[in-house]
Amino acid sequence: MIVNSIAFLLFFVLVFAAYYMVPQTQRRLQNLVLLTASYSFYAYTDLRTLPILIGLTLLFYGLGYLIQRASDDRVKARWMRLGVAAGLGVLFYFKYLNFFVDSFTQVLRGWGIEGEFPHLQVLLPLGLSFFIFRLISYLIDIQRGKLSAEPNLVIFANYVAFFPSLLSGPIDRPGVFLPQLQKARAFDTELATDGMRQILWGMFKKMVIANNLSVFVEGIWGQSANAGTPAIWVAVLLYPIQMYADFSGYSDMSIGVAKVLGIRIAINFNCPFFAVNIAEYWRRWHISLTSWLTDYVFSPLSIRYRDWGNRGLILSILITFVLIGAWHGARWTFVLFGLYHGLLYIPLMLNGSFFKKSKLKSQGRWDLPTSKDVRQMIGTFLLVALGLILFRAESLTDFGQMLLRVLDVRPSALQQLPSLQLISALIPAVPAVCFMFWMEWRNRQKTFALQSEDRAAWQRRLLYVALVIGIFVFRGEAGGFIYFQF
Amino acid sequence: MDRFVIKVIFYALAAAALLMAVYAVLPYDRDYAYGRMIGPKQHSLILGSSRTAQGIAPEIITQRLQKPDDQPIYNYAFTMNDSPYGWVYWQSIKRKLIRNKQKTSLFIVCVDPWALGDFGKNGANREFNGRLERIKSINTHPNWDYLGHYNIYQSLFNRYLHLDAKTGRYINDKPAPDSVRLQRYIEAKLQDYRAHALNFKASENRIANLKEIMNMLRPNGKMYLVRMPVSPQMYHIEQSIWSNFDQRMQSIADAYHIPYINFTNRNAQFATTDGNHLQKQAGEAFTQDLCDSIQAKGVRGERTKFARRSPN
Repeated sequence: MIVNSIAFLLFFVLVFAAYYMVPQTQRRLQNLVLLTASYSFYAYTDLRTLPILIGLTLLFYGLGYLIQRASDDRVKARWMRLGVAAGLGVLFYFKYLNFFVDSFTQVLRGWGIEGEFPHLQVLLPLGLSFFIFRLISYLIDIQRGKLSAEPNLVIFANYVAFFPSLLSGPIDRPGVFLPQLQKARAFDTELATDGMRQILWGMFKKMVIANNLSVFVEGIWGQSANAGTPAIWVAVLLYPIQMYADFSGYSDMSIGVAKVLGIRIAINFNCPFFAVNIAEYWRRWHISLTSWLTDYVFSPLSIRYRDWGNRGLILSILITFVLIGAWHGARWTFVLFGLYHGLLYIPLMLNGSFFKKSKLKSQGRWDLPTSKDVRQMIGTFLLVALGLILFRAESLTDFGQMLLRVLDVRPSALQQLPSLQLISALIPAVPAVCFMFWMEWRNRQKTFALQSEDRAAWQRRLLYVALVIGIFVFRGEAGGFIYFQF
Repeated sequence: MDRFVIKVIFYALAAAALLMAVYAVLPYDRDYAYGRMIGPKQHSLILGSSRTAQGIAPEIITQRLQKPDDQPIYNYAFTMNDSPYGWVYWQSIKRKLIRNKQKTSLFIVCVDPWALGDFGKNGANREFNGRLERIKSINTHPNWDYLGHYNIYQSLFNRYLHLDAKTGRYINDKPAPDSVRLQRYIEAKLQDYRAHALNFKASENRIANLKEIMNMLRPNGKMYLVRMPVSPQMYHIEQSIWSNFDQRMQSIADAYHIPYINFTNRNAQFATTDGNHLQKQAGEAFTQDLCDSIQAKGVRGERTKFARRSPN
């Protein structure tokens, strides 16, 4: 069940009604309604893996209690490591085992050893990476003394399975999320209205921008043998925007739904294409994942290797980014994608700008960025776009072929243009992209771009209605371009 | 909370009202299927895939073969992914068809290997994710079921392809490029079909569904089984994937005592846009020739010089 679907709308109306019908004094009942909704949501998506979610919840609840109860720090650390190993073990089994089996088989074949290791038929639980990371951070924070174990199982289970962010994040931290469930949530008109605005903004990005761009991008890559080089360059440049609109759009919808339920969850994106270097980019992109890995991987590693100076820092960065790449999926291209970004940090570390947070300045009557910032933003964007070719490739061979197509500057390839049908998919998307960037620049200090309370009420209402109409009239169809059949 | 709920409902209603106004004003003919799903039920139908959707001009058939008080024939062909012969297409035709006790209906059932075979990743079920499966309500205007599922303005800026909702024909107005560019384009498009051919399988299930469709149509009037012309290169691909296709179709036609009108011996005479779909004028010329064949056959079972006599 995806958030921008009729099924979800009907589901959410029921949840909203049941959630707020509960009297304010009945916190436990409200949390039970929420948990029932979350498990129903997950079961609707995939009933077979619901026992895994529930089983891990119970295991980590117990481990949290054991860590809290232990008086000896070494015992605490032992229980924590057991929990982390269990979580990572589950993740490895479902997500990576077959990948390593296949890779090992290929290595053996390379050495002339023929043989077939059994390929396990495993069903990957949806949202596994997200809720495993939530569970792991819970145990680590208890062990570090930042958090007390949650005594209430229903509250803890809600933290793990909270349906708006269960399948695609953001990855919430227990210290911020759990206290919100420890008191009943009365309906907050301002927060709910802000939530509806954020849902609308997310739907606009996902359905108008991401879906329309995917028609062009997938269309070009799908027929890359016949597509001309200019079209491939355009596809390469549009893919980061497509990904951003898709992922951040979904995050906005999740955050908005949570706000309507009176719960604030982590922000996940902060105008990443306004970043002036790659470090700034990763501080603005998939923030919940990068901050999680910063706190639980990079920081401990950089402390461990602090005696190595810059080399220690570089090693910590590379390991962290390899893990970021691998987190995305079981493919060597993802790992290389992570490594590529890690390597891009090296110049920043060497020139000392790694830790510097840039402050975007604006100039002139129109509040535009400075030309220096624009150059740096474009440079960062191009580096990101190149890295996403790796991200998109199914294999290293595929990556090689894609790269060859990008670098094909023969006159015959340069003269080939995409079909008008494909270009027509861009017509609604390009103005929408410009609008998105304009809104994000204008409201870059706000948590999302549609927070424009400074505008007159009638202007805001007109904008909301225009966005709704625009979503219906110009929404792209995810999953391909039907007119290829003609 | 009451104010919040009222505000949300107000915005939803305002947006719905404006949307209705937008749908009433903006044209919908750029969407290849919507126009076919807002009209009334039909007596007479042309069935097949996109080759048929573009290649047969219903108004010519109406003019030449139908009586003045007959309801004009309607082109209800879609694409090889949406309307291959199968359960989904059968049920959709059932929803579109009016039973005709006077038996004055006319049905042109166009067949080709792609429409009766399986290929691609989801070959045997490829139509189950398409419009004909998802949209059950196909005779209402506006069609909210369709509008809720699909964006009919996705191809608003599609310059050349548009649907004539009155006849159901999907028209390609693109001017033919020079022959060198056309050949290059045809060759590029045929690559896709060659890729499909690699895992193509003739489908007995689809043939069985074709027969069910013909059983359903037969009591209402006259039926003709037709194989349309394509480019010689495309025909070569089709022969490679199903060499006895014509024999098979002839035997089905014989079993139903209807003509099998096969135009593939005249492939070179009809120009295509991409090796598969007839150009607009070629489609009109072909429709005229098809009417000639049907008129020449007249009574069921007669053969014309165009049909190949092949052993069963």
